[in-house]
Amino acid sequence: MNSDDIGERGQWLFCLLMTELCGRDAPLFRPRFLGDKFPTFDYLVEVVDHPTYYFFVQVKATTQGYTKDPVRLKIQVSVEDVVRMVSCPAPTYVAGIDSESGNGFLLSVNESRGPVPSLITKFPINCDHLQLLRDEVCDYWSTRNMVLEGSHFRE
Amino acid sequence: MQNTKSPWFVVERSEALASWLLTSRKDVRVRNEKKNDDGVDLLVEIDLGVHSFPNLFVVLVKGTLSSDTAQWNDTLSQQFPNGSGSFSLPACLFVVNVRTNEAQYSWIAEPVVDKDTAELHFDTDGHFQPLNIDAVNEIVDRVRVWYERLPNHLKHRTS
Repeated sequence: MNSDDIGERGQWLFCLLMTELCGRDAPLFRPRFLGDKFPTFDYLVEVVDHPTYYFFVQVKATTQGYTKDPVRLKIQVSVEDVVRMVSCPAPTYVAGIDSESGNGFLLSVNESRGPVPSLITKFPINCDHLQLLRDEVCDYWSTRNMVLEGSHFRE
Repeated sequence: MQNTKSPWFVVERSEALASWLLTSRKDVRVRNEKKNDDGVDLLVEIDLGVHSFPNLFVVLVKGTLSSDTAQWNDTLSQQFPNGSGSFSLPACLFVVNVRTNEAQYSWIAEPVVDKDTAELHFDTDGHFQPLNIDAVNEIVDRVRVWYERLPNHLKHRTS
């Protein structure tokens, strides 16, 4: 299995984990794939029922498993990608996917930091963290007035 | 074969789960064919190495929020009112309950081999079995054996 195949499996798993129903009638999130050529990010993820609330995700999948002590997923994010994520005016996250077990983990990359040499496993993508993520993203957008007022080009 | 009225997440989750299960085999690749609007959802390649043409089979994916298998059979018969004989490749229907992530499968064009024959048996009644990694292994192995016997079958038919 080459790296493209591992990446595709990671994307399917990411979509499955992000759209878990968690006992609801519909998922909390709708991932939109940005295409293979989009820089840094793989998905724009909309909050269902609030499509103007969204965040970006880079998905990294691995079949290499975890480091031992501490237990961290063996994926890396380059410093260039971290810089681009931090400079993004929307919430941004890395999703690490263990494509063998089917588990996924989140990391916020919104504040300045160095490259990611491996991924913390403290935030598995599960129902509790999906709800927390939704709250975080909704809080972010609802406290900002995103309306461009007084445009030069208004009628 | 997704119903266009299905909610987006039923379609997307069922195809993602089907693709993930199929590619649990490292020799399997999946192409999403929905854009062609020919009823085929996934074209599955079994990789035989760089010097061989891959074995191909077709998977139709039906997502559901229901565990009622009677509903699945109705869907199947509606999809093939005149039988499923149009398939010239082995074909399966995967039914995925997107609420529980449980899946079942039924052959639509089932590869059946004998010593000198490699035929497809068409079935629209739906004989569903649990779909898991063991089932994927069985599906892939049966498709491979069918392709192995196909040259013999064609030779006997033309002679």
